[in-house]
Amino acid sequence: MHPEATASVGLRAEALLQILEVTRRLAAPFELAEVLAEIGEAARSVLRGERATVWLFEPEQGALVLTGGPPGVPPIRANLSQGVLGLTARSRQVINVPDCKREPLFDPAVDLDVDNDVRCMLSVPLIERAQLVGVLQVVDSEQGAFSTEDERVAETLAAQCVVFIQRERMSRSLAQAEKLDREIKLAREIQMSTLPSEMPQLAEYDMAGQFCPADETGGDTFDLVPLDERRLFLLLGDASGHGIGPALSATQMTGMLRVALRLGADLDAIFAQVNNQLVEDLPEEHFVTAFFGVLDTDTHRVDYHAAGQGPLLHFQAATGACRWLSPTTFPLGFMKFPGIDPPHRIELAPGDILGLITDGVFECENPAGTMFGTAGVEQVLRTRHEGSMSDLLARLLQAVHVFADGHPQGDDITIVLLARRGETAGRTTIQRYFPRSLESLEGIFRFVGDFISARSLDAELHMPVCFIIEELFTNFMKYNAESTHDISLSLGHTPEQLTVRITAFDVDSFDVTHAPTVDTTKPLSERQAGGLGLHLVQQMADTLQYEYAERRSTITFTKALEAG
Amino acid sequence: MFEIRMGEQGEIIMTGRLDAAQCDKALQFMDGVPAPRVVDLAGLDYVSSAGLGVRLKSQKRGMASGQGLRLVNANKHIRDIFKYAGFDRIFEIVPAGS
Repeated sequence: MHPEATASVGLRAEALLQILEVTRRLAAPFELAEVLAEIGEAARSVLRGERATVWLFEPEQGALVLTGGPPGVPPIRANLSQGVLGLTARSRQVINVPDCKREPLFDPAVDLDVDNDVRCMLSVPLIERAQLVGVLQVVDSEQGAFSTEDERVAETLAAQCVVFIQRERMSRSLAQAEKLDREIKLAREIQMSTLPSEMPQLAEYDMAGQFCPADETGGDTFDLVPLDERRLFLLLGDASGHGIGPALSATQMTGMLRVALRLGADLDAIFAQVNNQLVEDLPEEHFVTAFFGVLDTDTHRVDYHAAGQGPLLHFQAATGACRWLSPTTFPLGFMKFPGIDPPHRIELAPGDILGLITDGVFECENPAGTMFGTAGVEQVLRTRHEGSMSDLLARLLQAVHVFADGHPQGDDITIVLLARRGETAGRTTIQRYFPRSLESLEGIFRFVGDFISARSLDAELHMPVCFIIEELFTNFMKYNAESTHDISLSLGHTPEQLTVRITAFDVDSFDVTHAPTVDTTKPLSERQAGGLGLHLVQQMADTLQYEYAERRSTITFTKALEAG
Repeated sequence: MFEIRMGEQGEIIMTGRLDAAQCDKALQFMDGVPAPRVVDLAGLDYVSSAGLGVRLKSQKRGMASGQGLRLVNANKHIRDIFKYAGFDRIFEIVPAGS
């Protein structure tokens, strides 16, 4: 039975009214000190005692603590073996001591007998859901000793007080959690704001990068900074630990990198300087794993330092194999580098992919406790390495998600993918992916224009080539709307002709070379807009071919180039 | 960028690139104009097949009310496309500079 129900039977009306009044008053204050003072005052007046005190139990320390003394006086602590107080806490029973002088358990130090003049005491446990919350002690009844009715009044009062103490504690921890949530959210926003908002465009390269935060703030970051027309700086970092600190460390590193690049520092100097600064700034137990690299699109080399960051993925298109590279040195922030080794180097052949992946991917666990690992990454690559990097990235994240099977994401996940394109060596062919959206048309128009002007081809080609591409591109969008893959566009030329290849992935077959076209000699009233575009494509292209294999539609067309 | 507006003589002026992404804008404008007669293409660099559809629709509307559309100042690319599409038999197309 509920303690209040038993205790309230037969209580004197006056005491009940007083308890109700206490309850009403306790509903107002929210500060713990105020709540405790109100309880003490209430107990004193309802039980007609001289003084009352409320001890709170601190489970972590296994101690009872008395606060609310004069300012500057530290709280008094008592362990559960001391005095009547300790017995009350251990037994969880009301203990009525009619004569303290004769009670061997009575301990003036904790039973609040400062002046050695306490006569009698009522010691009441504060219990909620079988958990000890504290002890209420009232001393020196006006009536000489506390009665059995006083014991029941005290129990009822105690039950009320517990509710308010717990409410105050809960609202305080909620408020703290809310404040922390807000701060973490803010740290997140700062962290996210330092990430690149769009991928740099580099001839012959396709790249994608994404940061997927775990629930708690972690310390992942990445950055892709073009140094000039042919070089790109690549950064990936993972600061240890969770909370706001790592997020700030990661953000700080990105900031330092940007400043260093602006000052024209080279890879080795940046790597050393960022490490030295982190050694000074980071708390001792913290560190940052990081990849610092520079891609040169002329030589197709990536020179890099990997401080504790690994394994790094180098997918080799020629063999279809994944090479996993180890870190080149220890993580940043431990100690200053005694000297910098020359950077390591990755050579990217056409079709090769460099993957920078934080351990949130490799260490992603399923409910059975198995990790996603490098094997999980390889499995996705095997079938998806030919698609766009944004597509591969999405597939990887999806695979991790499916693998986790509802197991919560324990760590930030960051993936940066960089692929070298181009089916033939040299610069005769360039390739790029475009999302299935009409908004891509402007980018396509520019892509074609840049190709034609960079190679000094006949500028008159620009319009008809764009016309054909737009028609084919929008047809791919229209007839395979369910495919989510980006559409690949590659441009190449020989002295004789310009070759354009446009490929849609995961689509049904639709042969444009055999599509029904319109009769342009018909009177207008009998003509529809549909079919006209493909008719024009057939008219304007010198050659037009369609291939379909493995759910890929590829259309290749050529335009002759004027000799000279 | 694609822009479409009314000129001082009641002609419609198109500038920029009329691709599939811009067709709705063009169609909306053309639908809101009572009886388009002349379209000035001096500033139009590019038109795609979807852009041709816009013209076809306007022309059908114009012909139903007894008036055809005149396209003036069309560049070579646009004239070629109109020719391939057989539109030169439907519209009166006036090249740039004449």
